[in-house]
Amino acid sequence: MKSIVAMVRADYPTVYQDISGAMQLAGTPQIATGSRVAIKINICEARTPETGAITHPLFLDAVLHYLREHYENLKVFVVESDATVVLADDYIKWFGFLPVMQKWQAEWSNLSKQKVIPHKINGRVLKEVPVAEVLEGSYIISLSKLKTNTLTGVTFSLKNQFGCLPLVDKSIYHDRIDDVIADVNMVLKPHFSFVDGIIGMGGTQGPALGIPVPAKVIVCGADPVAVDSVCARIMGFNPRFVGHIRKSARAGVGSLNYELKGLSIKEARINFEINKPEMWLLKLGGSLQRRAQKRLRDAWKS
Amino acid sequence: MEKLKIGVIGAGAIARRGHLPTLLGMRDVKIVGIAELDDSTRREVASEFSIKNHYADYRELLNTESLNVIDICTPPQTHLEIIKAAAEKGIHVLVEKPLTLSWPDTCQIEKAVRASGIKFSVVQNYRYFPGILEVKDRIAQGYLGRIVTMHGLGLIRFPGQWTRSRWLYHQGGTLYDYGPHLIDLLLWFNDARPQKVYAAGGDISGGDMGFINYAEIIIEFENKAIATADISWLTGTLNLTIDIHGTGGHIYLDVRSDSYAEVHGFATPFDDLRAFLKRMLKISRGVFNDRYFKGALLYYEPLFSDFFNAVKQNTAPPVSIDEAVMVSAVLEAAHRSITLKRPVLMDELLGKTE
Repeated sequence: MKSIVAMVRADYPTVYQDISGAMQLAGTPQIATGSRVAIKINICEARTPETGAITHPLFLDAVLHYLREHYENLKVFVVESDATVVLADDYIKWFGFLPVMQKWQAEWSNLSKQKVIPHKINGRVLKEVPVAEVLEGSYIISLSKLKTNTLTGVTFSLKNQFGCLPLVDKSIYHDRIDDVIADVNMVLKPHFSFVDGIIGMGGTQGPALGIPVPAKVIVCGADPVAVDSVCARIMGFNPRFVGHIRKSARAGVGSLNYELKGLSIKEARINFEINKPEMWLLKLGGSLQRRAQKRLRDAWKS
Repeated sequence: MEKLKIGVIGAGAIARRGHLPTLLGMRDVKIVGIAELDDSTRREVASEFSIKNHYADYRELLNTESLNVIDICTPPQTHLEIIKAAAEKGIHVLVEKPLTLSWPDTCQIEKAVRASGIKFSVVQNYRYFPGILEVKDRIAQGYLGRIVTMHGLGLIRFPGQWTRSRWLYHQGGTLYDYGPHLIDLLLWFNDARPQKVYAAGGDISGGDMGFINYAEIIIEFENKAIATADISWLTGTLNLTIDIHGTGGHIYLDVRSDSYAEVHGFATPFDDLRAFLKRMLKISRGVFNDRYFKGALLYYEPLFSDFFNAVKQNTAPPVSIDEAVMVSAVLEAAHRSITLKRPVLMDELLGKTE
């Protein structure tokens, strides 16, 4: 059976109506009264929302509005973790998330500061996934962005879940990032995924330093592999050739086969100014830089 | 000649990535001890760099070891106390930038350094980029005539990767990140006393961040030259460039690629082509010989070397206390100007210590 994915035109001033429309197409998620809901936003670096690098607070506002309007007594948490370039506690204050959380009685939770519960898996790289307590038993909603990524080509809901790992230095997994993303999603697969593509990010330096692209779409659905497959197609990538999407599908996280409702891929397509050879060279350049600096330090030391 | 005995204070990112490996690679110095508050970092760094003596308290390092020089790599709020303690013992001081985050601290440091007669230098390693040294030389030799205006651009990402320390997020914010490098270069190139500073900028979030994250600074010099410095954390780019316009010519300096272009009169297609080829050649060579990727890390060594020579031969240090104080003064004036929304005269700052 094909997974249902919805895609609609959207803009921030009308984002609540746009999300409501998308949910009608995707099918309203079943969330039991009184459930705990964890909304995983995406803050990959200290960039302001209009750059397309981070989840827009207006998008979070609309999703929280929708949840409060359609469900009762939900205990809602907004979550993100620290990383080498992320000071999550600061960034939610700096970029306008706190007033939104206060408005809809949602609580902030920094996953790097939570007690973790290890989950054993037979993953490609990880044999154990540390899960922050707040995510345990929660209904997880992913609010990711439509972006390029120098390491993984693209980044949407599956890659957003990589940010659920509480450890700060996540770069230790960069060499096998596709496998690790699939492993994390075996345990922390979002129950529902939104991809905020109202302002996406293109160019060769995503996910933080690329080109803001006004793609003006929202993509959503219950199957993150299917949602990400649609997003990849919008950006001109074949999802079967995107390592972490293919590997997540193989790991049983979701399906590459989808039924798309709403906008077609053709209607949503916009130039993301992606230069694939340059992206590859930049990845190589980053690695050369790390090696050169290490060699220099080692030479001095010896 | 006997090796200089160095004590390193602070074992954070800047010490591990820049100072310690550089010092270890120098023949005429010996790291005799390190001080670091954090127990696990201290042990890890001492073991990584084979430093036998390590202390939790810098005072213990100063009291126990017989030191010629201390190299301070701690956050700037701690600099005053450490420099005063070293000056009292007659130990020469190398200190990471920014010198301080507060003008009274700078004034007290100046007093302590002058009273003790120690050699003192702020680590302005950017001065040692070969391209920057050449530009300084071209200006000094008069190829640009008299400097009229300079426009500096210092854009860098929010700090996070290099240091997770929160000290940068004090009220001055971005002014104290790339600011000390850019202002130092502008003052060094022009070599005249700043008279007036006007700055605009602040917090683009309207107060949520609580520190300056972008600023435009205008500096008027007593030789009538004017410099602007555009400093920001917001643009997600890495840019350190300076345009220098003189009565006799113009130089565009790009620190990142360590290259510059010099034009006299109207720029012709030959000038454009020459500049393009020179830059491409510089970048290509840098990529192939690794220098492009090593960047500013390469330029600790020549600065340290000049400083140690100054200690041994009792000559002038690479960055004088006057220069260090003036950079702090301009940054303080810019900060005040942003807060007060009016120009700040350097006399009103330098005439008193609050």
